[in-house]
Amino acid sequence: MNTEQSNERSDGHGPDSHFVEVSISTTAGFFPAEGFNRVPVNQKVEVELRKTMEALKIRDTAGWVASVITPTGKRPIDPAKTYAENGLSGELEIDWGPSEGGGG
Amino acid sequence: MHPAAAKALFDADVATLTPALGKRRGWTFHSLEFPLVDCSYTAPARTPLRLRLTCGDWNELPPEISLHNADGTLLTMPLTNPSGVFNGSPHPVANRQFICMRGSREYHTHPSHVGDPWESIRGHSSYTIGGILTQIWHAWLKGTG
Repeated sequence: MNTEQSNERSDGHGPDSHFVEVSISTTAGFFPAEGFNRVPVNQKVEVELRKTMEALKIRDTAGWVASVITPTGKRPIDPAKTYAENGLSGELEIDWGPSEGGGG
Repeated sequence: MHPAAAKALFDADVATLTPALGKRRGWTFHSLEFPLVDCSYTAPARTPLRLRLTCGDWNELPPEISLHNADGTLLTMPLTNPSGVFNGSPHPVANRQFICMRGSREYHTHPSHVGDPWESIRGHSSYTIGGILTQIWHAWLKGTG
């Protein structure tokens, strides 16, 4: 019997709970280009956003907002917090782009 | 702006406005052929909003943006939206409701905003064609109708 596996299943803290799967969409492209990146759940969201900026050659993201896309809509998240602190787990589709424009 | 140069910049800008992005955001692209971006925003329990961005002088000039019903007819009723981006009064030049936001030609040619030139933001990552679409989308999402 695999005790470790048994414990993981009973307490709900299996290996996957330490990671999230992340795909970030922008109008400059997706990061990663296809599929999802596996990242620690206790890593700040901004780490993947920085990688997105570099990979997609986005020059300036001042005023951009990140949101997680769910079946019921979009929910803003705080890039300075971790995925866990944002209440996120599992497979995540994060949308990133400039917030509502000023004017009026 | 030479039309060929405008088309090259336009094509580069819209190349990443893909069906995959549309699926994720609820955007439907009806046209991405120079000089027109024709895009509908959709969301659960919302009436779709269709926008046409005419980008003939991209990016020397910002796009002209008009608002439409899902079938493509010009929107005549003002949108119910708490954002100031959707201005329901007639634009003094275009003579229709308009997008009152940096990045729309109607904003930069409005007498109240001619002191805020497009040149000061042109080329910024938030003012690509996709960036402008995203800003208007975020404003639209604040509405309920």
